[in-house]
Amino acid sequence: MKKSDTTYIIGSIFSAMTAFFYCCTMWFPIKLPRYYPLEHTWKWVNEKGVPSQGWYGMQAFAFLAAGIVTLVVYFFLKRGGTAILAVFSRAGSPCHTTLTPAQTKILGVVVTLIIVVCMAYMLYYEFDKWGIF
Amino acid sequence: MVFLENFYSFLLLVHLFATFVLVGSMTHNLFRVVDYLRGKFNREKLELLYVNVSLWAYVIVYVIGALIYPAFRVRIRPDFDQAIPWATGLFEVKEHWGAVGLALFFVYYFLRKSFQPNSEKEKLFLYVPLCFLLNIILWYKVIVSCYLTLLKGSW
Repeated sequence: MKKSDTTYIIGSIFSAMTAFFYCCTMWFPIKLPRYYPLEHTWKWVNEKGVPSQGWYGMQAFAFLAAGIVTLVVYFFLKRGGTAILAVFSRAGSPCHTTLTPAQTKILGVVVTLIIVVCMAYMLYYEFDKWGIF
Repeated sequence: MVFLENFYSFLLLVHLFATFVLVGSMTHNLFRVVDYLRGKFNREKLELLYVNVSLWAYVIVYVIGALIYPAFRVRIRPDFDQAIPWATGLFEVKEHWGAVGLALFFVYYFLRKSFQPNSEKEKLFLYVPLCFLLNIILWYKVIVSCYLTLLKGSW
């Protein structure tokens, strides 16, 4: 597979997964570490009435989870993914498999939609939580 | 004493100056990317330069923002939480989008380094939306930050 195609797929997966896993921290009660700036300490619980920051934990979770998925896809592409892509591709031989223009465009549109939906949900989540709506 | 509280004003100023560079380079990048949509590919090197500058400016803005966040959380945000909680909502969206924006920026950078817009036009189907999304994130962050500063300064 062409290097630019690999970068395109890997980049697509990582950006979509980061947005998705970031939203997962809002959808599910995932326990994440919180920083307590007045105590200079990290805790796994959200203590009410004490200033704390969950943002570091949320992004660390999103980056790590997206990174793991991206690594899996990367190894999949390196090992046997080209053979599977060849089935969907008109290019033929697995060793010369490239993304077709149609596959590239569809992947780009799908990834863009996932990111937009996730960003819209983040906006809705906070606006709803803080009474802006 | 909160982490880096003594350096808050200085770091905030550096954060601001890096933001000037970031918004300038990324907005100019948007104009060049719009040129791609019109079929004009004669300024690819300049566009790549804007991407390089934008990435590193974003990293600087992001790291400094993360470092001064504890001081903001303890000294400034409680005022917003009590008086105008909806302003905290605006700020929180800025932080969420900023975190996603960091991932998008690295993808944007490596994607741009890996292909030539003129010869692989189909890859613009991801590259162009990423450029627009990054500009939306940046401009939202700038406008909300300025607005919150105005609000804070007006009471």
